[in-house]
Amino acid sequence: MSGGPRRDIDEILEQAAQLALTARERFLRDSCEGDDALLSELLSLLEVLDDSRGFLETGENSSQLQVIGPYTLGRVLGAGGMGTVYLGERSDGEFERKVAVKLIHSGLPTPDILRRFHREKRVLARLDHPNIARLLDGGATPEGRPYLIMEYVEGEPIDRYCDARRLSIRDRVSLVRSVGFAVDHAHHQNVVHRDIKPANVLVDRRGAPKLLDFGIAKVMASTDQADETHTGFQRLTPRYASPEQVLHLDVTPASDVYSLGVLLYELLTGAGPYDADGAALELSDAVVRSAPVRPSVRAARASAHVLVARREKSSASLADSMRGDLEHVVLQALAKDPEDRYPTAADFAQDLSRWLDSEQVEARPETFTSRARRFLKRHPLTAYFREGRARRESQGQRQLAETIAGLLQDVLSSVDPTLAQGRDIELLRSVLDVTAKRVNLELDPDTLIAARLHTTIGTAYHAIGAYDAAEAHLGSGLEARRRAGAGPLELAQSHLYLGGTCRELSRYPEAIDHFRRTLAILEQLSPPDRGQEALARDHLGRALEILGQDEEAERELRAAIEIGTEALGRENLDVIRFVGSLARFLTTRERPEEAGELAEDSVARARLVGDEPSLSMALVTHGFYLNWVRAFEEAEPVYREGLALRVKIYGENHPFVANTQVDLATVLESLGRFDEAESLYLRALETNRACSGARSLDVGTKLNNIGGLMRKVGRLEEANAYLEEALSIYREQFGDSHLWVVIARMNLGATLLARAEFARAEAELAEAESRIDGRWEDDYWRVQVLRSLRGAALARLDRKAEARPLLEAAAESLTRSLGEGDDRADSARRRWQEFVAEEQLS
Amino acid sequence: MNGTDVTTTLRKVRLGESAPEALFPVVYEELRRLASGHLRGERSGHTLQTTALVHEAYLRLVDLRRIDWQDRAHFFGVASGAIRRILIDHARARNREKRGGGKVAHVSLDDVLALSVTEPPGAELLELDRALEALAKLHPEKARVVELRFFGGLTLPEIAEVLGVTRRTVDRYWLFARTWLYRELKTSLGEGGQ
Repeated sequence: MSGGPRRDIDEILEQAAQLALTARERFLRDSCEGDDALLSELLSLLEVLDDSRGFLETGENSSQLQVIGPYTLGRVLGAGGMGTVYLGERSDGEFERKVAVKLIHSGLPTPDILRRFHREKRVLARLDHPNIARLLDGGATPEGRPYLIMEYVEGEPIDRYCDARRLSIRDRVSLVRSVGFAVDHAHHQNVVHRDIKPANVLVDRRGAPKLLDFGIAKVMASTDQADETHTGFQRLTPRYASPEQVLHLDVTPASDVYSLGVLLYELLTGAGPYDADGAALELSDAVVRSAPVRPSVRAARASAHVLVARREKSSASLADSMRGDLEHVVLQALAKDPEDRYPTAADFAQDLSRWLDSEQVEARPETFTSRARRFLKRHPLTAYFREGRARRESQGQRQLAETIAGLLQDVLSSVDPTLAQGRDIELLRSVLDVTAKRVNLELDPDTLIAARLHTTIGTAYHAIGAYDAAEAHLGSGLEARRRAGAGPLELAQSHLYLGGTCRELSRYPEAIDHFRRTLAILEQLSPPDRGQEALARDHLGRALEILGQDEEAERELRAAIEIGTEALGRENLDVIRFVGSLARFLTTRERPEEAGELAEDSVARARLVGDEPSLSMALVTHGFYLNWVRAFEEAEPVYREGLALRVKIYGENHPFVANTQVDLATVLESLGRFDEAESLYLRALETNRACSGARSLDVGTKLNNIGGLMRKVGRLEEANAYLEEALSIYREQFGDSHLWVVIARMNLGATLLARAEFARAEAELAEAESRIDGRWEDDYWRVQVLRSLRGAALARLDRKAEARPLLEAAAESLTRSLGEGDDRADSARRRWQEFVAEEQLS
Repeated sequence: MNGTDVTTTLRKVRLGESAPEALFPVVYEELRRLASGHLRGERSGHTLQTTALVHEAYLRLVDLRRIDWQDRAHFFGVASGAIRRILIDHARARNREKRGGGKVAHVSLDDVLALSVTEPPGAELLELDRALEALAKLHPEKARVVELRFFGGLTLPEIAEVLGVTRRTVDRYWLFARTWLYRELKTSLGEGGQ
């Protein structure tokens, strides 16, 4: 080989490799031309050359596979974690046929695994349905790599198909119905798809949907050596996976029903059922724990792009088309517990047919009671904990406890009365009591798991108005989080919840402290959580408002709206509530114009979104405003609608209902319907005493109201008792200078006056006036009414010189500001006239 | 850099307007993110399938409708370098832990059984990395073939596209590199090697 340029070492090796063993060494000596170093290098390489075959050669090996069986492989149709799909073309027979060839990449399977693979393959090959892409064949390449040959479908993924053709909601539902029947066919052959997602549902040119990859997930699993249930990277995107799949539990036909539900949900709303972002872990968490966002709520936030693709004019019209039956169907398919879903895919498809035919569907909104009963029956809590111990070895305590906590959380978070829809709060309470006891007994208190459960239990107690129990558990949760080194978000959450509970217990300075801590923690976060910040500012603003720290309160309330709108959008439920908070604040601060606009705006937004708790809140705020500006006739129907919603959502004995009853009662009182008002007041008082404590502010406000009513109808003794108790509660809560205390003293003074206890009346009224301290303008009606009353008391005490200017100025001021015919102005004038008349008599 | 940018950059690479290295940071980040959950060993008996990982990153980062197979090859070329770095960093960290940096890594029977042909366990991976470095000093382009194939899961035609050589050349490089590495590792890991 002399003469030519020296060849590279790899060329020599390659040629040597093609020679018979006996010829190799001689070939090398010739090639190296006396270069001993090169020769010995090549010899040592040659020695291992045959052994090295296959070394590092695993993974994708398609380069060596241009032909599989009668098919020539063409372009790549798709690549995923489990394999690569090629277009295969058959050109040996009389007809040409295109197929999809799926080549599985994993380690080389053992004979046992291959047997399993072939068994699965035979089952799949039996599937014969016009909407299912057929499995034609399968086998292993000469290297032993398994492959599947499937019917090639020329079509588009169903989501892209629907959007590109701007299919209406009805057309979308109709497509999913066809898919549902196809899935059911497979279920009858004992084949579960396991991986239903848009990419696996193609729609061909004629508009017929075809399901791909039926049962492939399981076949793939059967070729996996490490772990039979391991399906590689499929789990990276749990977008369509059912809770049981996420939890690695048994996969059944019900899992496909769930995935069909997600598919339909996305085709309808343009987004997934959970508010988790794309991160796999977060999404898995939501799949297992969070209730799906209702499709109509999701639709109300739909982008212009989503609306255009569905031929909808507005997000409101899209939300409307979803509300009611269609929504119930979707949510039934998405139930966490497989037993709560449609029993079969056909039942799901048939319910879609009913909806398409405008018939009554079978799906019903989930009720808490049924779910809780079934849960308690089927899963005694002890079983969870016992199972926990047994499985610790394989999973690790932490992970397992997380799973258990997740399941508990799912049950407990449904204790939120907005989900419970007013049914059987007592049952909810007993579930909570049992759970609380268990958690205290069986969990290490210094763990994040215990912390999370305490927090969940606390919020659930809070939701049903059991504030003492709520505080205890939220406090334990915060302590545990601190000790276990929880992250800032969790600590912020604990403070936020605790603040809310302190507020309900009328401990405002503590509440404010918790809210400020929440904000301080949130401020240090990077990236910031603006939604949480807005929420904390709204809470803080409302607490400051109650303590009369107006300037700061207004600043926080406005910041909450601004930050919330920016971070969450205008139609976010929280933001709607923030608007209501500001409306309420401005109302009581006598800035009615902006308040009225905000209140109406908040009702309109809530109606648009269609969320009942938000709407009830907005209505109550609007009613509050109308009542404040004395538009009683208008206020009554607004309050009644709000009250009815609240009874429906929270049940009869909830503090929210009590507050609304009082609101309505004050309106009825102003309309002169005293009996109706009294009975509402008394019902509310009972509820507040039970939920918030006998000395809570809520009880105080109710006592004050009832006292005022009693005075008005002439039951002065009762009035006096109610008002004194109210005043003492207010003073306890706020100290003496709070404006509510001023108002309560006024009411008490007026009653004492009516009872002819003039000295005491005068003392209370004088005290009240001295505490106003410039916070009310002189011509504000309360100031003038107070002076008029005090003038009357002074007159009776024979301090006429002091009485005269008060009575005269008040009569004049109130007539000017309120006009004749207003009962406050008329009363003041009457007192002045009586005084003048008496003067003349004496 | 988002999906569109990755796709656009890949086109530029093909047209010679951009160097593939421009993609490295974003691809590395995505892969590291995807891999971290798996490397942490959430489940015992888990094997890291690098090819699947790269495919996953590819599907996430690239707009499939605007790309052809040469672009794909370049993407995988960058990804194989990134995945190699991730695996090696992980293996090093694991080894440090084992040597007593605090926690003792618990190796269960499952872990041992799960050692798959697709992923050498930590120690062997580090040996492979070292051998590959040594090979790269002598024959950089041949070492690159191994990186692309073993870490990136590229097919031989794809490797040819990335390296700008003929398919036949890639076959030859591969044969040499495979043999060379096998010899090195057999020596350093003792008889039986693989």
